[in-house]
Amino acid sequence: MSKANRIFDFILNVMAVLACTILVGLMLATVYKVGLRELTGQGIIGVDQLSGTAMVYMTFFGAAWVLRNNGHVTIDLLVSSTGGRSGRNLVILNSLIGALVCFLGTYFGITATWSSWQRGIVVAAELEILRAYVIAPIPLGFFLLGVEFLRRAARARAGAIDTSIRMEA
Amino acid sequence: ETTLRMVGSFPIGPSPTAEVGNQFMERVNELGKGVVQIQYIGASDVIPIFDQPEALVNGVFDVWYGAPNYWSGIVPGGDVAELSPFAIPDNGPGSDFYEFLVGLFEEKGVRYLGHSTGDVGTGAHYLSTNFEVESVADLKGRQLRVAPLLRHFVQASEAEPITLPPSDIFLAIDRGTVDGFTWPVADAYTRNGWQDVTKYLVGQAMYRSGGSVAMNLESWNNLSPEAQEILLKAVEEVQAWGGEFFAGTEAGEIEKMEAAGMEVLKLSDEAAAEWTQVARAALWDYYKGVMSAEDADKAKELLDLDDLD
Amino acid sequence: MEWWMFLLAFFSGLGVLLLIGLPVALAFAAVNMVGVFYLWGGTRGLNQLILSIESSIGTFVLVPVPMFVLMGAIMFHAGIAQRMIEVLDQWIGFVAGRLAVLAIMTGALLGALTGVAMGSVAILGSTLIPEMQQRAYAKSISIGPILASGSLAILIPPSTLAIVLASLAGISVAQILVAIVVPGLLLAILYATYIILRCVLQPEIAPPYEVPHVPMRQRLKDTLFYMIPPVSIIVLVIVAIFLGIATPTEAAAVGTFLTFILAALYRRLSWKVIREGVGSATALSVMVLIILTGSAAFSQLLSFSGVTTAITNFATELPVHPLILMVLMQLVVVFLGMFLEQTSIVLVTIPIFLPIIASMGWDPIWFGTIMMLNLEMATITPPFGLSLFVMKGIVPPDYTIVDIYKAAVPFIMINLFLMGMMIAFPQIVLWLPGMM
Ligand code: NA
Ligand code: NA
Repeated sequence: MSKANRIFDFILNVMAVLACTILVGLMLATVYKVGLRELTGQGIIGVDQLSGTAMVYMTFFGAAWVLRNNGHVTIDLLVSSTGGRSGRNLVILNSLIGALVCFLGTYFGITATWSSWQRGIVVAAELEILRAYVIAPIPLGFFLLGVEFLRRAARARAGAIDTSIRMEA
Repeated sequence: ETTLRMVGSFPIGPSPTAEVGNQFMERVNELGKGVVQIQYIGASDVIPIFDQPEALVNGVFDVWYGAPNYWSGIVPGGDVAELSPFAIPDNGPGSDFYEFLVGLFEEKGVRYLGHSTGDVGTGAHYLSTNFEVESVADLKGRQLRVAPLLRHFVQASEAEPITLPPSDIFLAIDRGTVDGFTWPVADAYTRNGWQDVTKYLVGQAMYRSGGSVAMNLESWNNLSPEAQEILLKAVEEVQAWGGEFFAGTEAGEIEKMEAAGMEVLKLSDEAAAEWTQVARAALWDYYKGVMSAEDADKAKELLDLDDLD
Repeated sequence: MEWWMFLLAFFSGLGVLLLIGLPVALAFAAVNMVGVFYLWGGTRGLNQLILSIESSIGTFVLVPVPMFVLMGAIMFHAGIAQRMIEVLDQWIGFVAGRLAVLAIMTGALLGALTGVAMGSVAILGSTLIPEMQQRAYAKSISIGPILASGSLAILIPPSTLAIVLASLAGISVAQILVAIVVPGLLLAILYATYIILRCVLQPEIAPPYEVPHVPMRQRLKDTLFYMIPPVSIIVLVIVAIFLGIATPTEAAAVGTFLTFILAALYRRLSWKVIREGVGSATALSVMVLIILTGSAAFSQLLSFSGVTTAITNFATELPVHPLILMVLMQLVVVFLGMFLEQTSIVLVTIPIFLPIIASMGWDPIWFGTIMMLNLEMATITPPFGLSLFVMKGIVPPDYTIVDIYKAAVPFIMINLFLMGMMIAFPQIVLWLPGMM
């Protein structure tokens, strides 16, 4: 079990590094485009479109890692005010609901990606990319997030209660 | 009585192009009393424009209206009527070209219903600029905001296509972030205030534009033959109505643009021919790339596009 | 099902899920799934929901959000922001309520460096409150200004919340970023004026003290090295957007890149700074964006079920003056602001407000800016407000939550006053974007 946990932590770390890389890449790509336009009078097309797609990848690659660090915006009023065992049970309950939502998202994410791929649907924009490539990170992200919710439920059961840190969005 | 749910790309009321959907609905509801009725659910507030075609295929609603080229991602070449030389772009239900389109859409789970716009050269996409244009060559190196359909033309003329949401066109053209933009003039151009910050309209049409109507294939197949007849009859009526309507709204828009000080640039005959040729060839090249060889040949024959190859 | 039953089902479902502590993003996802299943034809609708998730965030219009977050993170992690506070401190002389005024000015300055109220309350609270205690400042004049200053971050550009609002409402990102400038500065000035006036009238709440003298030469040098360069980056970004030289996306990316270069020039761009700065920026961006993944479907379901139309009809047919309607809509935001966090408030209200704004013929930039001020206030309105809780976490134990609530009240009043002015005189908002 702890080995599986370690492997999963490793995966989340890799995904986090990828998400961070995407963020920096987003910046560099736009800077490159602007620079090129200033220097040659001609930008490169597709940067804006790819930037939008990169946002989807960044969000879904990073989602489970953010949950592991207790980062997602949560209204923790009831959890923190009840505390003790009932607070713990509340965390288990909301984690299981979270996992259910995520696994539904995984399932329908896969079917949506698959049917989009099969029908060969293309994004009609500057670059004609298969839409399947654009939505593919969604089921992956949901899956990792779902597993992380299960781990969160297990942690709460074992007594390691999350007192969620609220950050401002 | 069957009730079909309709969603469109543009809201009925504020958008002239949405009249295609509205007229279709009104005619069906008139002709189809007791048999088939259409209920309007909403526009981009209900489903984002570029997700609507897939939502129609998924059966989230039954009837759709919007710009013909919104299908390009799902039905390759489904908007090939943009190059049509006919007064009614698809030549109307029963014609060879119409049936060809029906076949193309059917393969992708959609029932094509019809395309309505002004006669050749009206109701179409035009380029607006803040620099003088005498020929295609003047576009080279310019930054132009484009609708998806126009990207091929803009690239073929070596301009730089810029993507911006319509809400940002005003600022972008005013501040010079872009040098020009494309828009189907008949579609409420002046309501956006662009005429106050734009100098020229290049008076040479590019593609047919206008509005088209389609249905979820399963919903279509579930209709009685009588109901199907009614829908096709409504399509014919809307197509007959469209010519005058688009010509009228376009003339009204151009009048307002000129009143605001915009100048309509008239290209020389030679430059106009070249302009049209570059536009058509660029789009046809794209269609050839996405359609099967067989479909492309068929389209070329039906649309008389021999000059483009 | 009647529209009001949908409305009730939507919001009670959402409310229950939020209350039991499900992360906001997942609560929206859960409500959307049920709604989509019911309204969009079962499982086929759920496929469509996945597409709407992509449509919600897969747009370059939102790219400035992570860019501005990254810019702020680097400013903080490289210590650029902290140096600026020190410089500011050197310049403020013997003003009544000196430390409180410093808090406001610092809040405005930090607000200009970041797009989110990222920890300015925490930073200011932990550095200034001990000093305020030492100088015998009253609780009200030490906590209040720090609460107020933290919220300035979203009203002084760059502001990720303004970008989110513009994106959801389909209005110009550039215009709203420019529109918030005047109200943001006005608010800072009103805060500072209030503090000085109050400390002049009640000197005992903020006893004056001897400020250590820093030679002018040193002050100028520090300003030149540590204040001018980062401020120039922000000014450059805003001016580029104002003049239309670059799109907000481009301006934000270039500004962020320049921040990296500045940090490198200060020799502060260590591997640790990059790792921690980029890491926290990514986490924060993911937190915001994942909430927005539910936005398209949520507003579409409200439309699809007829809720939006029904509420719009109801609101526009209310037999009251349009200004009353405006005030009512702002009161809804105030009410939600007591419980919800800002992105979620925008997400829930904009789809319903937008058609009302359109049918009343209001300028959406005007409305959006007033709403921004209102949302800014949400972080300090009791009983629930992020800044209130952060503050409780950093003050000494003898400060109760009621002390904090009380300290916030005058600043909430100032916010309400400015909102009233903006409603009465739209030019306060529209003058600057009108010059674009
Ligand atoms: Na800010
Ligand atoms: Na609050």
